[in-house]
Amino acid sequence: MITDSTSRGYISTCLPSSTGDLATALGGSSISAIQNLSSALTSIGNFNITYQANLLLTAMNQVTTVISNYQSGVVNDISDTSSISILTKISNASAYSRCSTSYFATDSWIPSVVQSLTYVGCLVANANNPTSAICGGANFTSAGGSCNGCLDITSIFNTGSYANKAAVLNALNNRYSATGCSTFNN
Amino acid sequence: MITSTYNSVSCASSIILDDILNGNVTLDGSSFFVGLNQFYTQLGNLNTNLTSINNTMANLQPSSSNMTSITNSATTALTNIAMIPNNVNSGGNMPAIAYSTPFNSASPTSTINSIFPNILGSSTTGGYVGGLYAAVNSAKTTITSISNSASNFVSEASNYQSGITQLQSTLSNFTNLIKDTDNSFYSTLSSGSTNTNYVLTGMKVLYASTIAVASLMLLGVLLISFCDKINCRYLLYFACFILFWIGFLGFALSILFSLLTPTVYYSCQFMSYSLSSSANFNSSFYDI
Repeated sequence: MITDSTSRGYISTCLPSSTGDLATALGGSSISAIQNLSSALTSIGNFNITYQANLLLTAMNQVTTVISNYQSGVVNDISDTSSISILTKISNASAYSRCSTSYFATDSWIPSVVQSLTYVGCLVANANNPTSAICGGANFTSAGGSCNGCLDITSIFNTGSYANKAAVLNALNNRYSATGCSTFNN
Repeated sequence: MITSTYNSVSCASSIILDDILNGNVTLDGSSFFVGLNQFYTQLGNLNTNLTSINNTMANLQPSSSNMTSITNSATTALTNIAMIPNNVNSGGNMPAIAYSTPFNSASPTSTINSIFPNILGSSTTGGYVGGLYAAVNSAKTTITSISNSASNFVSEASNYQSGITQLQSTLSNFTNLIKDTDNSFYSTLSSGSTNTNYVLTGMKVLYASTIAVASLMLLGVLLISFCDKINCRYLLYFACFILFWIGFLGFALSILFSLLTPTVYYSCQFMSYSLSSSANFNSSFYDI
């Protein structure tokens, strides 16, 4: 008969109704240490640097995108309906019937040509959708370089050439020089 | 029958002990036992590789230059993110832009506030900046956690190695016990198998002797009865003498087997009961 209690304990582990976990019976605390080691390595192995980097990159891109969108008028920064109505009126040349300067009737001033969602739509068909580069320098004043059609207010005036209100007024007065255009220009 | 029984017992015991030493799978294939020899070998490999693992883990400790750099970068990033709204650390949302209204008036009479600050948010109020801050902070927390785990591992590495060494020692002792048991079984069963042949031969000799002596006795009776060979009575005396001792031997063997049969039967019953569960095994083998 097996009188040694330790050996008897090992063998009985493998018999029916026991756990069958001979390794734990043999190892005791040593097995726990190895399991802790395995757990630590598994935890480290599960750390997915690519996944974590994508999370951070996505969050950062969201911040930069939302700042850029508000900065460029892609999204609406106001919720006041009466103010939006005024922006809508500005986009409509026919609302300023006394302004008879060339190009005015084919221009539609909107906060941004890439709005999402559209809150002030462009009212000119087949517009050129000019950007600040197209309407930069003398092009804006002369309406040259395809600087006509849907005019992106934010993009065009967000340059060093239009650093203040006077510069903007001066440019508008040059582009729309007719007397009847002063209401729009101002 | 005796020989075949011995062979079956030898084969079964060899398989059981070999499984313990070298491993096997269950009949349904759902589980397997790696075997003490393989377990011992793999523990040795683990112990060897622990040194390499320990060196790798050391690079992940908070005190390592790489981890310090990562942690400092994360802290700097968090500070900068917290300053996005208004250039003040944890200063809340940026001030709202006040648009003069009406837009088409040369002399505005009122203002409306931008909705952007609330959407942009901050490290303390949520929004997009809050989300970015939380993501970076989460990554930093995770990295710090891993770094601390690595540090704990390094401090416990020596315990792991001594634990594995201790386990190997225990395994070695138990493996030797199984091997000794295997050898003991082999030697006992081999001896039993050899003696079985002797017993079988002895039985054959006994049967042949009985038949031969009985034949001689019959021959003596025939010679006395039909040929008046009265001196053949000595043959009858000799045959009677031999048959007496053969009968005595048979009587002794019957008594011996009468004792052995129930003993073996109940021993098998005891083994069957003891091996039916761990509780029965412990109680039975402990009590005796």
